[in-house]
Amino acid sequence: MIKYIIRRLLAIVLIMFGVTIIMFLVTHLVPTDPTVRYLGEKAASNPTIVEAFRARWGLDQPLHMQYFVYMKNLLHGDLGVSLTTRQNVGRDLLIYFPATIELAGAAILISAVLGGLTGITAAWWRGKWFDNVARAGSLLGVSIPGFWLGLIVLYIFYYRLGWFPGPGQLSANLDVPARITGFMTIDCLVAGRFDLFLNALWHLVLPASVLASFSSGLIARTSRSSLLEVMQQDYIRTAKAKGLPTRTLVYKHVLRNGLIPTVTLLGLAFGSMLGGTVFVETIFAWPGLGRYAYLASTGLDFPAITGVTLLFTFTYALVNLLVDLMYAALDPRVVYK
Amino acid sequence: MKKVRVALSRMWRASPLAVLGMLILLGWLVVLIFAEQISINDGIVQDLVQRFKPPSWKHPFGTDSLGRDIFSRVVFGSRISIPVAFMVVGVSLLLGGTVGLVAGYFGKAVDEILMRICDLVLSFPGIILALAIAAALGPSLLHSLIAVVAVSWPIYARLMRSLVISMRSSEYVDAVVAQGARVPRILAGTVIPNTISAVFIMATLDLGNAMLTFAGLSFLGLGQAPPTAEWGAMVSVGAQDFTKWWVAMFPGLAIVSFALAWNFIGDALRDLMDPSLRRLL
Repeated sequence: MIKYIIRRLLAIVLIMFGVTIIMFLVTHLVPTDPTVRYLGEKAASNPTIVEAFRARWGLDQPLHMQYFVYMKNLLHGDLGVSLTTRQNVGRDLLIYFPATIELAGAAILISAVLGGLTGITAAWWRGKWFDNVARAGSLLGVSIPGFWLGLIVLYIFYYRLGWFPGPGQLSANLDVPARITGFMTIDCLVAGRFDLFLNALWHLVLPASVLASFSSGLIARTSRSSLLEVMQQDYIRTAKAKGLPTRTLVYKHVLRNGLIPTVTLLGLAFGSMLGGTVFVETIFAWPGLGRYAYLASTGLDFPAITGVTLLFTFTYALVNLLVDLMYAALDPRVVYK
Repeated sequence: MKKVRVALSRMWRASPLAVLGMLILLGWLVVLIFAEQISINDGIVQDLVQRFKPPSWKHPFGTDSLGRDIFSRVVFGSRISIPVAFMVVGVSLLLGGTVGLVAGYFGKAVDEILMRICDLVLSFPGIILALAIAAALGPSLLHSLIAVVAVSWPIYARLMRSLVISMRSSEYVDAVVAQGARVPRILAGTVIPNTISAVFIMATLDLGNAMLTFAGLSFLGLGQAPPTAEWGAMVSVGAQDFTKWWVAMFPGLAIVSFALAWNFIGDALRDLMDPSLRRLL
């Protein structure tokens, strides 16, 4: 088991290395040159300034040297300086990451509960009206673009009905609590402000639900089909035949075995959520990494976009490792060597 | 005629959602072909007096920030958004399919290298890599198409590879090899025809995704340059002010209906499939 974990961690290191190469190629072998963008037309027409700028960012070096310098800095924990925020990228990532994790965490919770319950109910009433509605609903969930759904729910639930607050993490008239963990809900609690905590939680509902729509559909579908598969197993028939009460049968045999494959899906869902934050955070003015990634890439801010990608890929790989370990803990038949 | 009716009613009973999906697609095909006849104007002409007008008889879907008729723009947008989705899937399928075929048939080091590249691309959250590529190449329709293909080919490579590997050990491939057929003949004559149905279903399931990813890039301003209508970019106009609901609503519904139609069909096809292959999708 320990060996397995070490091997997986080494694989993650290799993946990260691969990511740096891909990102480096993508951002350096392209026609767009950030020079003009950052110096402005006037300064860019002055060769001395351009030369100084290119030397400052190492753009005058041959490509493999640029990569070498980047890697050397990276291994020292230096991700470079963002061209947009003019701050160290590592510092930027630390600032924006908690908001994204908070959002994605809430979304995972929503999609696991909503998707799981839908899948269970649909499997239980297989072929009945609920099953059909759930099937159409889960297909709808994977067909709706988050950037559109976000705008529609803002219009309906914030602008028209006023049930939920608008964009942002906290209502504008409230004082933001001191930043300790970076997680808004936790910081509110640490500050001992329960009213702020509720406000922050309330602000999470709409963006997290939008972010959860895709994976809720995915989870509902997978849990339904895996539960149906389990229900056809011989041991379920045996359990029924020996007169086990339905309650015990469902909880101990069907659900426990049938929901395990859904756990693996959570890792995949998390990946799609990290991507989805680009849209949801942009629409909901959420100060997280998705919005940062969007601003960085449209601003041709390559150090920043590489930094975000590295962090996202690392998180995604780590979550998948955790999911696989959880899988082994839940299903004793799975043994990693 | 009677035969057609019988076939249709049988399909309806087997999978009403798939039939619904086909009807939606048929509808879009009609819209795409007869766009000039259906639309009210060319969808590009501006009328600044008529900015942000809600739906009315004159403008059934309302007007956008430049006073353009949204109904006409949705209609003409189909000529960009729908072919692009097909192109993304087609190119990904050809590229990924070839990679998977080569990896699966030749195995060993070739397989190892190609599959590690696949794993690497799959280890990114897709849209992030697509976003970086599209931004680096600069905003244009072609560039965002390349960006979406760059993140969607690996699923085809993986599928093709597992299909080919399971086939390589089969007796009918052995038989063709024993007859002395050369590699191109084996691949084109025996291996590829036997992978078509699975790859086809994967493509069906992927078409909705392709449209969503591409529309997403357009929404972020990396796709088709204005003023040409494209659904994702049209939704982004609505994002400027979400209280003008109709601006984002109708192009968004167009995206959803197209993606949903393909998911309905793909889902039904997957159910019809051989269970041993189903887990690959």
